[in-house]
Amino acid sequence: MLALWLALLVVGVVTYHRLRPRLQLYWLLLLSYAFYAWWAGRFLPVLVLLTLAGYAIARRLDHSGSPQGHADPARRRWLWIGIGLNVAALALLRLGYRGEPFAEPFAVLGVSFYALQIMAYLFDTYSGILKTPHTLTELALYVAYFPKMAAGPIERPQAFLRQLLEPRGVDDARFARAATLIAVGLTRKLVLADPLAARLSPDVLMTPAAFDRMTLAATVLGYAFVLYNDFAGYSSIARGVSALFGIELSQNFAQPFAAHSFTDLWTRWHITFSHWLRDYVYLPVSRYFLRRDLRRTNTANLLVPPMATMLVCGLWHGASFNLLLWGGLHGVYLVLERLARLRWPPAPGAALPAWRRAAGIALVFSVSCWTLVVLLLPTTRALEVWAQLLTGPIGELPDLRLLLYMLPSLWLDWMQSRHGEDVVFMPWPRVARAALLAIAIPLWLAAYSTAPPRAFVYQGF
Amino acid sequence: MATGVEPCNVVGVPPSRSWRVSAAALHTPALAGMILVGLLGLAEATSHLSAVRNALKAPSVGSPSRRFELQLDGLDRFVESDRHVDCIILGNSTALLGVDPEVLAESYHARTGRSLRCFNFGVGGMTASAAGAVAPILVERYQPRLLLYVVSPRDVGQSVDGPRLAQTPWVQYRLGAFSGEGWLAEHSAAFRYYLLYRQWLDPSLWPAAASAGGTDRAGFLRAKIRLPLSPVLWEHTVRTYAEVARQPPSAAELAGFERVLALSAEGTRVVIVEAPVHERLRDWAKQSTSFYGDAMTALRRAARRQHVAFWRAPTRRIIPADGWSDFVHLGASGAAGFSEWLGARLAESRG
Repeated sequence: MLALWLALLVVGVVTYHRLRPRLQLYWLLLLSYAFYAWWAGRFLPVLVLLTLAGYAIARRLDHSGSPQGHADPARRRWLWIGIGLNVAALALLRLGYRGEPFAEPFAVLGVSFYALQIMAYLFDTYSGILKTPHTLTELALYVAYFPKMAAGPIERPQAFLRQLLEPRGVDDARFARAATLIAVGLTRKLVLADPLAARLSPDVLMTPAAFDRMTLAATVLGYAFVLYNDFAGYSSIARGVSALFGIELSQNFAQPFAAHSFTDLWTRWHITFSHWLRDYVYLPVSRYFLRRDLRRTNTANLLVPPMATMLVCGLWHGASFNLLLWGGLHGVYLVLERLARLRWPPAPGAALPAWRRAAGIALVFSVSCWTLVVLLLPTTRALEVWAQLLTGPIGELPDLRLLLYMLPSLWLDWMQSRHGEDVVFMPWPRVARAALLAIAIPLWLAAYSTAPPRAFVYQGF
Repeated sequence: MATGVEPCNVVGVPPSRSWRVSAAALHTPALAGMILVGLLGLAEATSHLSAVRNALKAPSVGSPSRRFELQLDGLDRFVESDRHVDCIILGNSTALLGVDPEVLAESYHARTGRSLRCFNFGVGGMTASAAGAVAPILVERYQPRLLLYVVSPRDVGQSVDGPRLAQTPWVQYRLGAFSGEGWLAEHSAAFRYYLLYRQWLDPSLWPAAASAGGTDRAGFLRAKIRLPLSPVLWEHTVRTYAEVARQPPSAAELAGFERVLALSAEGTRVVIVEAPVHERLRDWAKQSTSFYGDAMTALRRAARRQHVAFWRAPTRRIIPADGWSDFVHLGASGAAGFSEWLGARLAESRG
């Protein structure tokens, strides 16, 4: 299967670069729809219809046609019709297939990602951020572009669409970056995430009462690393593949386990989704409250925007109480952090002392892992896990082999924080880079030939 | 020549020049390839060092049975230290736990004055089809004078584990079916350690790997646990045996048994020994299903056709009451009794 995908990718890239720029877009759109039809053919009409509706509505939202601008109630009505349409599609598909997200191979593939992008396109057209009118092909490609279809990154319309209008060359430097991103992504997925997931027994979280605290803590920690490496691996591969077509996708992760505050965490974890939430939920809600009271101590503005944002974040993951609780808890952490900052404001321009940064990292990491339990499990089971983590027997030292996956993951993070996600090993001498690749290749092969790769965690969203 | 017609606006006319990657971009992957070749060579050389081999676990040949690989490695080490092996005892877990080669050799020596270097190649779940694939390899590789195959009716029942072991690329390669993995597993020590790493990654193999080990240098696994022959154990055993008996003896498994017998025509003495089974289980099997009778009859007839000796141990006489680990496997004292009897029987049959 992987060989087939690689072959198709090579054919796709080679053909693409033989075409004129305009034809390249048609070719990419064809590839994207073929990709979608392959995985989730019966939902292709939904994708196409939402795209067509989005395009039609966006034309009515265009500023140039309305002398009243924002104040035009017809434009506002069309905006909310468009948003409502996408939210309804998202809710219906996600609720309808909640029990079997991976049935009919990934039946609802990408709906949570492309619906957000159509909404972003409508919002930005309405607000006038998108000034250049775009063709239906360009919008369709923005929505369906195959490297980001399954699980993002959730691109901002302006950044993506601008690239469709510009020359999209691939030179040595971009090729090297693309290869690096794909290699790092494969390593995160095949060598770190999947084998670590195989080492974690699902029984531990399913029957927490039968296990001690150490085992439970190690399992939760393990799942945090699995989730991160799986999703970051996917994002990295998507960015690398896209770069081969000369199109840059946004960075989605930036060493989230090094976040020293919860605000910092959401600038490092699933960054493109965080940006979407910030731009289209947090800021509008915050503006609403600030229009009524501009003071920093405006209580409603301190509480509501972060809570609303994180509750939407939870709902996006699924319509169940545990996910709402997960979002709500993160909302509470953000609110508490804002209150603390109000009480003890940091000195302007002063860097955080090292010990406070370290303490912050430890606190945010521990609390995030603790909260992750309710993202992974139904609420009652999560409560059992929490209770056992607090009151169960301490137990013995857990399986130290888990470190074989966690430490390289942290090392990769460290390297990426030093040099940047996409050029991570580029500053190394060529021999060192080649040696690293020579070591990685047998590891990929061993992992791939041992067991077929697991579906990406966010692939069924 | 100007034709006045614009070039067709399709593939490659003219190319967009958006691909500007030079050959220099391939220097790193090419260098990585060279380094990889060098590393593989280094790994191969290192894997042959006895210090490394002793420090590492037994390598893998890519089989689904860790026990099989441990026995293979154990036999290699046995032959390295003793220079040769006279007798290989083949069979499933009843052989592994039931025949102590040292007791057998002592019994034989006491009666003949001759030494007999034996290795127990018992592997849990090795049914007749797997034994039929493995036995020719062992005979060709180690040239034993005698092959003792401890067989039980379950070995010719429908099975999944046995055929899977027989289909291991290395086993098939040794039997003449070429495959890249089989060739590498045969010729590259480094690849065998790579397979071990792959096995380490595969959770489905961990339970078997965790329970493997514990054999002595002659491959014998002394049963450390003696389960109480309780009603619960009895229920479990009967359920397992009834499951096997639901289908008639497997033609594929019987063909495997025939392949073991066929080795007798190639200069190796083959002796078939019926695995001892607890009297209560034997009585139950006789009365409640025809499978066990049919299977033993088929095995006996096949052995007779190939003029191969087929022995049955006088279980009641040689196995003490506390000689069972469970209803199927012998405990330490039972294995001693059975092995003693086997040595005596071999000594008798020399003449």
